[in-house]
Amino acid sequence: MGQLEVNLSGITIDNPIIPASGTFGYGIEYQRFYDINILGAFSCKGTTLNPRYGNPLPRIAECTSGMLNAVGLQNPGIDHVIDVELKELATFYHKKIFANVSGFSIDEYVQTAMRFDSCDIVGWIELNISCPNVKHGGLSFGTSPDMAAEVTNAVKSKIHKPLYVKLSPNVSDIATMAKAVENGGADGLVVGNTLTGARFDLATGKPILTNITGGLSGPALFPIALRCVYQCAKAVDIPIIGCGGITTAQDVIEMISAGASAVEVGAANLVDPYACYQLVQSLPQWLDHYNIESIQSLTGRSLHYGNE
Amino acid sequence: MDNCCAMGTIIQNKALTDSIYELKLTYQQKLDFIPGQFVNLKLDGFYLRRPISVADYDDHTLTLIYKVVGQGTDALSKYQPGQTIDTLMPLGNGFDLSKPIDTLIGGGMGIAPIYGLTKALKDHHPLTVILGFRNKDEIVYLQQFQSLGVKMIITTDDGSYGIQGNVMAGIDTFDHPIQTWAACGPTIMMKSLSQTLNTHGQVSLEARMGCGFGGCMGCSIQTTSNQSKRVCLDGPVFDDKEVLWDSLK
Repeated sequence: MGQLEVNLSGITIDNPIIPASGTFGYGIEYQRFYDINILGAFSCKGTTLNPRYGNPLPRIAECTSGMLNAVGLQNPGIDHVIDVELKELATFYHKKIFANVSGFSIDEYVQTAMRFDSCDIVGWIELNISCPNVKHGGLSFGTSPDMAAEVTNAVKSKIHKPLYVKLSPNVSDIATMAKAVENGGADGLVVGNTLTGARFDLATGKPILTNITGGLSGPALFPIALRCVYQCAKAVDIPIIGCGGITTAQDVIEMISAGASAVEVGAANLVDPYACYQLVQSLPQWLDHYNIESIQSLTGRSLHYGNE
Repeated sequence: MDNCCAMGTIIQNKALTDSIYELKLTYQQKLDFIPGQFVNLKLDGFYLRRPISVADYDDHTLTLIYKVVGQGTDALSKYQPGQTIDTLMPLGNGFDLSKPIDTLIGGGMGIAPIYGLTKALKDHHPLTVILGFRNKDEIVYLQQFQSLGVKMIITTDDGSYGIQGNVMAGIDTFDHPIQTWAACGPTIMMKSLSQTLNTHGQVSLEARMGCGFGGCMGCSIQTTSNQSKRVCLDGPVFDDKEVLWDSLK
């Protein structure tokens, strides 16, 4: 394996840099800035069985070192994604994607995941069990270990591709969630997602977001994501993709040290469309700077410190 | 001009009124914009970029007009000549210049892209430009518009200059029906234009954006074709009949 190569459940990727779901569309928007084949992979926009407009505007707010979003899973639905978006993507992108699947019932998750499972361009299914933006009556799957394990198991039993489950940091004990989805049959984890926040207008007191709350992303989230990855890596044996606030090559090194095998990069792409391109370019020199032989050898080097 | 991230050097950041500024930036690369396109500026200390409509440009100089409305634009107003700003550009789809436009309507800061559009169209056919402001003190760019030699109508809400009322009052003075039009201004203004004028119009919308280039779906609007469209990438200029006005605030 080369210095940057990583194996994720049987698929070797050239480098550990993976743009995160919801910040990279279906890849097409970024191809106008650089050739996205330089990436390890990318995770596509969260896709549901049926088209969704999402939440009313405004959906975006800003904060110190980060942003809030309440997009609400806008997507054109699985049929359109497969027939239009992935077909166009395949004309210029020759690697695999993480197909991000969202749903509002176990049956919907299973149906959408099965559709993606038959697509060549899909390497892994990524199960979003935690999107905090969409109001749907009850509890989100990602906050109950039993429900998370149940949906993981239901999807896993119907697909052939490796299944990665994206955990929410909006829980009191993320290691328990990690363990639950590992027992449910997950091949890997993505840790984590946005953390719920809110902002209010100073002049009127009105919430900035029409949805009132939104998911915090960006560098403000980074230490929380590191803690989540560290705790999950202590609890499970399956690979972890670290996600939350990663901006620089040093952040990538720190996240992989904490127990990740690869990283997903989200908000950084929105501020600088070249962010992931630059991470891929600069990572080797920073590995050399710290005398790190390879990404693979780096995974989890911080885990033997402490008793947690 | 391909999408790029470029460093612009400020050559002027001048107050036109208490809160409205004209910013001129110079770039090494040759600039090329369609009226209605915008740039996204990265300001020190702010996480997200600030999308600002292009008012004018020449080979290497970009002119923006902006109003201080929050912390970001306040910080921008304090930038000094010689300082640089990381600029993502050109963004969005501008006005469709292949379609006829005879009346151009700008409200408040919406006059910025209307200036560039007037400049681009003035030599091709007769134009009427209607500019609406709150009051006399908020009128900017009047001389620049006048120097383009087009027919001008100015309205102010309080009647302190020109015709009293909003841009609709300006339209009421017309002795002929408006055939084709383009507008940029407050949503409420463009909504009433769209509902009053039955003829074809192009409107330039504004939205809080995450990225400005279609990556985050943060600025998607609902359209009459039941397809959502991104203000940043599919717009900001839309056919007025395409916008589902009641879904916008």
